[in-house]
Amino acid sequence: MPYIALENVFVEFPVKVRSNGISQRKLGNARSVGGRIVREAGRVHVRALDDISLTVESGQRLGVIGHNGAGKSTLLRVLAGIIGPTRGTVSAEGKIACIFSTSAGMNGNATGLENIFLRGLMLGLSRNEIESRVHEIADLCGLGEFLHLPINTYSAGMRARLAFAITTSIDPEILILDEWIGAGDQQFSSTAKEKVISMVEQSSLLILASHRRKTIEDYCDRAVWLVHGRITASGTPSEVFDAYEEANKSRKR
Amino acid sequence: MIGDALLDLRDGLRRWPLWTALAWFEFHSKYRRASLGTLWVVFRFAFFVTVIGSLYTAVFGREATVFIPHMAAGFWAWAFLGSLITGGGRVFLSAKSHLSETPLPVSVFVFKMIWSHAISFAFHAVVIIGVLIVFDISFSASSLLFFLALIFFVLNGVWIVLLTGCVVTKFPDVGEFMQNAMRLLFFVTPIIWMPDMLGRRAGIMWLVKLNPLYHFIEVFRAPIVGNPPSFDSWMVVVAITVLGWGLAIFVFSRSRTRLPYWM
Repeated sequence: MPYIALENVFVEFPVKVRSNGISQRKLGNARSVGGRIVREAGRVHVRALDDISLTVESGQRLGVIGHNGAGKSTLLRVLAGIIGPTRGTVSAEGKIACIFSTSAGMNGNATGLENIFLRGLMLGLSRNEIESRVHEIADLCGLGEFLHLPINTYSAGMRARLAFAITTSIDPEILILDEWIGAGDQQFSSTAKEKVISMVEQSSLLILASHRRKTIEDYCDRAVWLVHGRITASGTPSEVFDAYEEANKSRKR
Repeated sequence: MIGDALLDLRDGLRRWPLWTALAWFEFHSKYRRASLGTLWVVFRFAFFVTVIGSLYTAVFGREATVFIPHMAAGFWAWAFLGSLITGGGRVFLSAKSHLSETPLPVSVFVFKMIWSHAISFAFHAVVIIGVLIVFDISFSASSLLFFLALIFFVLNGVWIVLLTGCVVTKFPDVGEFMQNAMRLLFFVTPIIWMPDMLGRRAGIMWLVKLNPLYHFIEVFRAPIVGNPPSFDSWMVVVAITVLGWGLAIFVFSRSRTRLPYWM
């Protein structure tokens, strides 16, 4: 059965800060974005993830919410195995597919069809496997003739459709999606949602980051809220979002 | 740690459908808008050999039959190995958009870079064959050493890109330094000149031979132009291959998981 488990995971990015001649001014401490800036032994780190322990099991759909820079994308990259943690352990089982942006590592000068091949190879499919899925992918993304044009000519939403169609075509057991899913239009959103739900029913698991309440409530059955790289709350999507919005309101006042 | 590094290399190698496709694609898209397309790779090299070959034949007063094959074969080798040394440092940085999107063995991009240089190398071969025909250079048994030299070029290309990729990602200044050093080394290495042109000042050859690239170019070029193989140069090449691989594996095993943090 597919699962992912994180145990006491920390991610700290070293930062080279060099003065550029612009005077350093005190900007105050009021800050809602970003990870924790840690100074240790004269070195500056941004602590993007701070002691995260989390388990996602087969059939679960986890939403990750939080401010810009709260560590959502970093958490997703650690879950996907793209970044190894600075400290802590990650264990996972199952075929992982992830989309972090609408460009999804695709080549802008290549046509949609060429990108299906390149991206398919990148996801570990063989040429024959891609060949046999091309029609299915073309149907799902609904781009038609546009598949013969370079994807530079696509809108963000069209790229999102293509990226989604290719990535889900490998039948992943673990699907990791960041934010971008809002780029598609209503029609595509409902197609995508259907596809994701049916995949999760076949014992795969979903992890999705967004700060839109509707997206998280539509897709997920569980949510965690990240603040400065720490899990501050977890529970059902509406519970966690209530707490998140409450905190935002009191900050504004 | 070393085990994981070797696994990464093995898994990367197994993804050959991916890195050959990426390299081909990049190669084609570079010339996509030019109507002569990829033929430009051949033309550029042919122009260089013709112009620089005729000019320096006159400057040095050497017979074209000797100088032009020497220069063309030397530059052929340099265009492969030299540009891997100069450009190899950016291997992971230029793959950042892929590496931050998809879980992949990072060595995939090392092999991709070797493959795209191998494609240009194959196109350049057309010019070399032309030179060999024009100057009527005959083959002998020792010409076969060319293929051994080629294997060593590829083996060395891999460790060089692996090592410089890790080092330059962490220390960008090293990349800048290497670009400068390589420009200098091009003139120090006998490519657009020949060692016997030193004449009475041949004593300086010990300095020339301190340059490892001298030996690489030598073992590669000798079989093409019909010179006898140099045992010393072969020993240097074999030794550098072994030491280089050792060092590259050591550094790669320590930096592999840190690469995303440095980019």
